[in-house]
Amino acid sequence: MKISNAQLDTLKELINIGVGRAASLLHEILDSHVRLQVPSLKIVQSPHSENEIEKFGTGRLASVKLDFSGSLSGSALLTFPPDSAAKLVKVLTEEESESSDMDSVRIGVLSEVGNIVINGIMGSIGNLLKIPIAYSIPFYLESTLANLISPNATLLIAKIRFDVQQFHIQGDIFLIFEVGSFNRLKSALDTINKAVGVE
Amino acid sequence: MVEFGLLDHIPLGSFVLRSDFIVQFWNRTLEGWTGISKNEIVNNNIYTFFPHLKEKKYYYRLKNIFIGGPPIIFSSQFHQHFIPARMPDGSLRTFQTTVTAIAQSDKQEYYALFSLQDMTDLTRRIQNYRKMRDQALCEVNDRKLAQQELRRAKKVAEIANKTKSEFLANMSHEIRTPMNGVMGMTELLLDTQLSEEQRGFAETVRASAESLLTIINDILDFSKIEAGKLDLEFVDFDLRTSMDEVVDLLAFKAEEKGLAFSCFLHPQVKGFVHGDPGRLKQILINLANNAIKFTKQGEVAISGELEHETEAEVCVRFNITDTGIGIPQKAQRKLFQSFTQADASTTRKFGGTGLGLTISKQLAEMMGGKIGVESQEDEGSTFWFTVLLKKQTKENRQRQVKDIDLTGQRILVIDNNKTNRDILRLQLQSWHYIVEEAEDATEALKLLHQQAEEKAPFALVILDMQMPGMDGETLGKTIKNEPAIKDTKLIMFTSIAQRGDVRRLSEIGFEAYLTKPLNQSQLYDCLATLLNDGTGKVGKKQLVTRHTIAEDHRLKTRILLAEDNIVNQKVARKMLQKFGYKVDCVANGKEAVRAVKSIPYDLVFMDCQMPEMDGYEATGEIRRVEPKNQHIPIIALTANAMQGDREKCLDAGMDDYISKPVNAIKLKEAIAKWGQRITVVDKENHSVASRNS
Repeated sequence: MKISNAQLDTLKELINIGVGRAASLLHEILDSHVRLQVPSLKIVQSPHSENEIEKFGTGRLASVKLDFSGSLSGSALLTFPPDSAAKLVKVLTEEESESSDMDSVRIGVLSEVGNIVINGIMGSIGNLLKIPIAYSIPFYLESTLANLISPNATLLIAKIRFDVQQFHIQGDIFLIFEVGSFNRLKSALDTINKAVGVE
Repeated sequence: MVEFGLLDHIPLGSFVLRSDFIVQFWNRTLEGWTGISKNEIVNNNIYTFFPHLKEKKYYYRLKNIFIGGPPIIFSSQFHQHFIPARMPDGSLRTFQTTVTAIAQSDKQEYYALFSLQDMTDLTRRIQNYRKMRDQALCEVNDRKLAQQELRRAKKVAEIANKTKSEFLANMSHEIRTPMNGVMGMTELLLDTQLSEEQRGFAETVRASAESLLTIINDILDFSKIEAGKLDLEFVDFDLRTSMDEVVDLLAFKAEEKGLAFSCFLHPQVKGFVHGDPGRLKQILINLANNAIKFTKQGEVAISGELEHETEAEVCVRFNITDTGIGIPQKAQRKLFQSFTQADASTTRKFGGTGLGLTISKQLAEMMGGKIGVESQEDEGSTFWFTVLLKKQTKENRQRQVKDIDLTGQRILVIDNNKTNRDILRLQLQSWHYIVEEAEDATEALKLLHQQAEEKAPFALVILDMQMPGMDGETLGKTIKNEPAIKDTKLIMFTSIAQRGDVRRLSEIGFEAYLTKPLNQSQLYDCLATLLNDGTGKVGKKQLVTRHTIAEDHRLKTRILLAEDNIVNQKVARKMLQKFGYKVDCVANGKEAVRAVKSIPYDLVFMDCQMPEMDGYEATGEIRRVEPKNQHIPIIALTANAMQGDREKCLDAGMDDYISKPVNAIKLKEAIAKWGQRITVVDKENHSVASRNS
């Protein structure tokens, strides 16, 4: 399965739009400037996917995950290193939560933030592509990236790093698409491309 | 409405909104939580009840749901006011709210399904756990710190303790050397012509020095154990011999106090074992000495019996029973702790460091055994201990067993004391004699005549001196005067030994004379001599006593003493001369080597620290030059009675060592062991220092 550069560019752009929305939501929540990096895209082949995923990092992360399926399947992840997660919770709730252990306040807050961000991205992507997608309810997990992403298929992984300088908070957004579901994505992308006149 | 009826049955708060924010459904749980009834709210705008849902952050996200976007979560922490969390009863609850899109079957639009989960209990529980965990962590931390502190303190204490023990060990060396002079010279002084007053003074000096030495020995042993420097020896030995040696050492003390003193190893116990005889004897001496010390009248008995045994090992239980002051129940527990006596006040009355029992306990435990006490106040005590000993291999054992057949002969034991009779009977039976007992002279004579008539006469009679009615001596006379029974051999077994006894008894016709308490090997040797000459006749009217055998050897034994300290040299030489040995003295190792080259000595006592050439070097030299088949026993004299000294001496080629201060008993023991292996018991000198308490 091949994706043309034009298709990739379009996908990147879609992600950018989604992430932009997510960032503005995050900005609204934190009332502070959120800086985004350009999304990096990577296709990971199934047999080596585990090693490839570990290249993104091996540490334990606090994450919110939303699985989606239908004409497009995969998952969206918002991850924070433990110290950033703690800072974020502290900023939002003005509560001390220095311990990296599970705790309802943390989970609630991080779920909410993850939810807002992921909603922003997936909502706008879905809207733009105009294809029906079924979503799971976002859920909170603490694990390594390799465990969070089930590497049993060829995946397209998009990683977007963001940081909130004011609070020294850093996090990553991962969008993981199962390549097997790309036919619909490609045709959807083509539709968009045609509409805007790109060959 | 109908389609959402199911949601009434779930324990979650749930409601459904249409894209125009009109409430489509309001479930029962929610009625309970909010106090707003279904009828009140359904078909009305949600804003009427919850105006804050108009806020931007909710509004835009909800709009997404109505077009089929991803579900959203509103956390209670993030949106405190989303659901009026105060319950109708006024309590505050915590909720997490999830909103998902539900497709409407006929239209492109979606409903928003809200579901609210009550997180209050969960939150509280988690927070409780967290608190508990934090507390536990605190405690663990505190404990860790406390442990570290303890460990550090323990280490400091251990080092201090070890330093102390080492210091004590070194001190003992410094103390022993002058003690040697004091004790030795006092003993010699007592052998000179003294006025009564002077003798009294000298005896007090000796007694004081002896108690001081006992204390020093205890402290040294204790510090060795504490410093972990005490190792056990493993050699083949005979339990019976060891017990006899203990008896020899203590009999005098018991006799002096007028106590009956007996010692018996049950024949069930095979005496040939492998272990540390010195340390075993030390426990026995400690306990027996205590028993004698704390008993005013009555008896002290040592017995050994079989606890259990396997092919390779035997566990022996020793009991030391006395009729002394006893120990109150309460004090028994404290008894085996360091520096403790049953009653602190008894220390003043009876003396002692209170270390003896601690040392005994440690030693018994090192030998795989236990120690304990059973006691009734004012009725006496039984101290017991067990030790695990290896059995000797067959070859070793056979070498030691004497090959004399003593079996089948008839022996009569006459004693009014039942304990004494029992001991003798059991002992004799274990050697396969036929034994009968009599309580007094009348019964004895009756039995003797009876057996003579039946042509199965007694070969031998063992009789006690002190008996009510006719005493032993008179009974002996009577027997020897009656033709029918006069061939019976007589052994006088007495606890009262007086000068002149031997001559008088010999004249009456007694064949042998032994003193209580029973020394098993002496009895064995005595019987062997009397009963094993086939004819049953004793050639010469020579009384067999404990001395006779030793006599001959003494004058033939030549001893070399190498010692540079003049006082110590004098002490040792005088003692050896007093035993009747020929002694030559040299003052350093070189002279010792020269002397050994020119005169064939039977035994060398070698001081380890000497000028010019020390004892180790001299021994090496002697070993180098001595003829191959003439090994001269060399016994080290050393003031460092510490672990390793012995090895150092043996490595240097010496055969044994004696720790200073040297006294008559130690010298005798060494000569007995290494001279001609002869038993030397010198009644006149029985009172010299006993090493242990």
